Amino acid sequence: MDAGEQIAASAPGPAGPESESWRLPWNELLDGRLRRFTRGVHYSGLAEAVEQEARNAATELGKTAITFRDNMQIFEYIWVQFVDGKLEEGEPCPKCANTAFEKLQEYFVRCTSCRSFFALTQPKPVLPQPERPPIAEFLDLKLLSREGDELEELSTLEEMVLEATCSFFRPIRAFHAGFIFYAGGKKMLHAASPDVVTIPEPDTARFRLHVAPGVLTPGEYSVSALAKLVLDEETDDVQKVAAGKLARRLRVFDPHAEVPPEHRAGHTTLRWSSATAASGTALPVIDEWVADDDDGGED
Amino acid sequence: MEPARTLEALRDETEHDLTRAAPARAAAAAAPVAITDAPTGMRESLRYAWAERELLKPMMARFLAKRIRGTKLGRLWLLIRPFMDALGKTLLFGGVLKLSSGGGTPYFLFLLAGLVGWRLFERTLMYGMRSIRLYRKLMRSFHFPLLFVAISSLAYPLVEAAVYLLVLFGTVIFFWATTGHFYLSPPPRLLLVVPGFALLLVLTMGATLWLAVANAKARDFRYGLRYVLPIGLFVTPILYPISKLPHQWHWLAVVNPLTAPIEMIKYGLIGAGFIELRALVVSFVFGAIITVSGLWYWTREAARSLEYDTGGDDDDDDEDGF
Repeated sequence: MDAGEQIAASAPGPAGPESESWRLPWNELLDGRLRRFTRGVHYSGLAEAVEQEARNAATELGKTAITFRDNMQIFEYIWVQFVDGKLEEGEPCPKCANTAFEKLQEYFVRCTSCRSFFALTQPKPVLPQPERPPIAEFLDLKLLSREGDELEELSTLEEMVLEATCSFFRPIRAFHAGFIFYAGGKKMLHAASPDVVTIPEPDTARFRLHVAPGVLTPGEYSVSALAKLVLDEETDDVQKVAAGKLARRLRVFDPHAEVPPEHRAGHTTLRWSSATAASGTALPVIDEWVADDDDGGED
Repeated sequence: MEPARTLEALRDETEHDLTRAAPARAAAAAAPVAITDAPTGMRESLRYAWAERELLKPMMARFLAKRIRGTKLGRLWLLIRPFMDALGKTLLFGGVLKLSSGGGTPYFLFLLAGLVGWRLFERTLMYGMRSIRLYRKLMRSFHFPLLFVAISSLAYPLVEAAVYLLVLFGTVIFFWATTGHFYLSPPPRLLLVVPGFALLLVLTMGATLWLAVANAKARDFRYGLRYVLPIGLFVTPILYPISKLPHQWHWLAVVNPLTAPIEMIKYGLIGAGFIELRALVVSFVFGAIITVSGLWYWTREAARSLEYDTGGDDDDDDEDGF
């Protein structure tokens, strides 16, 4: 009886070779030994599903599953080995921080202190990024009170204006600005402008978003700006410009539980001002990205 | 046997480990990391292989599966090929070239008895020599006793040898039924087959361990062996009895380490061999040297040979491994 057969014998309630998926007892296979599973004997259905199941079980148990599918046409095997993790060459042991390892095989090491068993990986090569001429750059990002003062905190009863200044080094066919609010590392709100503008010539433009009282719930936020742009008619590529380094911290507090109705009067929830060039004139608005879907754009 | 741990218990252990390691990890971040080779002597290799012996069966099965991959007849080829090989050689050497067994034994039977051992040696060498290439992906992906890579190349030759034996037994029964003569040796002499095969396996594995690593580094060995092995078939008393060898060439049979085990198998099976003490000593000494040195070389170089890229035939499956 081979290792795989032992597993089949102890597997809880497999139906039969025709069943969609047999539940393999992954938690009994964490000893670091290599095992082979045969289609029709140990599993049925998609091999990819079994491999994924092994990887999921490994993640859940703080291990790493190495899998290999062996398709012999008549036979199909899946080889699985659980290791304590993947270790990049040069890193200390992630379990006990020891820095001494024994090389067991070309790509496997064992920690000399806690005896954890790791698959060795090469450090990812840092590929040189092709240099691109700058297109646009956010110069400034301000959180302003209604009166125009910069702020770092506001109450839920106050209005706020976000102002981003962006410099364009060349004409842009379509530019779509937006502000993003992060809380606890997660994107909480992405307010994209209803207008897509054209930048006819190299210029500096300002974009403003008015945030009405009560829109933001109390909490700590990080506010950034993100824009998507299309350079010219020849290219359809959508590029992104983010104001990552300019991100501002914002604390929103709630002096009262509810926003009094008088504070809401006269305001829509979120309201954009027209984008203006440095000269103060409004940038031309074009009819693109009106129904733009948010792809969860990373910045 | 330790009871299986629950998922929750394992998760708790993992979290505990990680929590405990956190402060130390920060302190060690700046320390240089040292990776030293684990003890990989012959004893450790053999001990590890023994501990993981359950893995040998699936690895041998994989080797067999690779041999019949892409065929319509599948496992039937395991039977057809040895039979056709023996039949073809009988027609050529017995029928056309009129070679004889030298005694009263039918030539087909004599040839089968010789081919059992020879094919085991020849096939193991050819498949074993390519074993690192055939198992390259597994060797790179997993940690397991690498010795199994070489040993698993015995899978197909062992099946072939078993088929040759079956054909031989069938032929013996055929002659018994048709001529009334039972050519199989009586049990005490038949037992000689066991040490004969054992000695042959030792010699074969020793040579395989050397050639597998060498071929992983340079494919010249594979091309060279293609021409050396047919010569081996002619200089080893398989197609002809050792008594038919001209006297001035008799020394060739003595120094050939394959002579003794193959003669033991032939004599053990059908009483048609001649076991010479000098040849037996040569076989034992050569077998011991080549196996121990092969194991040393394999332990030292098998993993390193993965670094050599001498042309991509990973997991290929060409005919006979040639």
